[in-house]
Amino acid sequence: MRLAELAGSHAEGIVQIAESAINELLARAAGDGTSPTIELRPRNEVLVRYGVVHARAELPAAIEAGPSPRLTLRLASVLVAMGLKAVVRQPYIHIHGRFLTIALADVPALHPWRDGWRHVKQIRFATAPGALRVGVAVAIAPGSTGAEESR
Amino acid sequence: MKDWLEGQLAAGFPALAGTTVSGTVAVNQELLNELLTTWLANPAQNASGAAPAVDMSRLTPLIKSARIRAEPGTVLIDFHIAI
Repeated sequence: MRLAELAGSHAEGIVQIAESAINELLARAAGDGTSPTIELRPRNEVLVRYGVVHARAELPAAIEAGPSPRLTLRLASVLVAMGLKAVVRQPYIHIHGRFLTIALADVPALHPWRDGWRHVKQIRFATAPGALRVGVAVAIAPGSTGAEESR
Repeated sequence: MKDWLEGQLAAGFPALAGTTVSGTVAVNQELLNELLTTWLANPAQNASGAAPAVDMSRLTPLIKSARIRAEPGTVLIDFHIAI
């Protein structure tokens, strides 16, 4: 079924993801016990621990939606940014200054939902005690051709 | 990922506690007729009651309200989900 066949559909809401669940998924993705862990702090601050390295970053309040959304984190330390730039090899991660940008549509783990990004109208982030709140608005516009979607 | 999702589904999605989503699913008559044609074309499969990919009975408690209405050419399903 193509999403375009559901033209006129829409949904809005808050998806609240527990910090423990994010860390469990990170561990499963790494599969070898070397994954980073995160700690969510007030005012959209995220502390990332990876071995002895601790890095603070700030989540944006919102990201621009569209077929190729990008999530840009503001790193607290330029030195950490420089260190990351030297070691990060994933083509969907770009580091510029103290900003780290992830091209969400190009992340392999998110490829199953690649065709759905253009229907996402808004994504907002807010940290809460022990959880990340993601505000999402989705709408499938009448007239969507869905030409690039597969059955 | 799949077994994580299955575990969450069985436990009522504790990792997503606090989630609320509202919306409307619009299904046009062409899609409904296509689904009906497919269903009628596979009587053996339909009679065997093949298990769906998701056990809907586990999702039902998450649906706090639902309403079906119709407009010309379209069936609209309004829903509110809370975990």
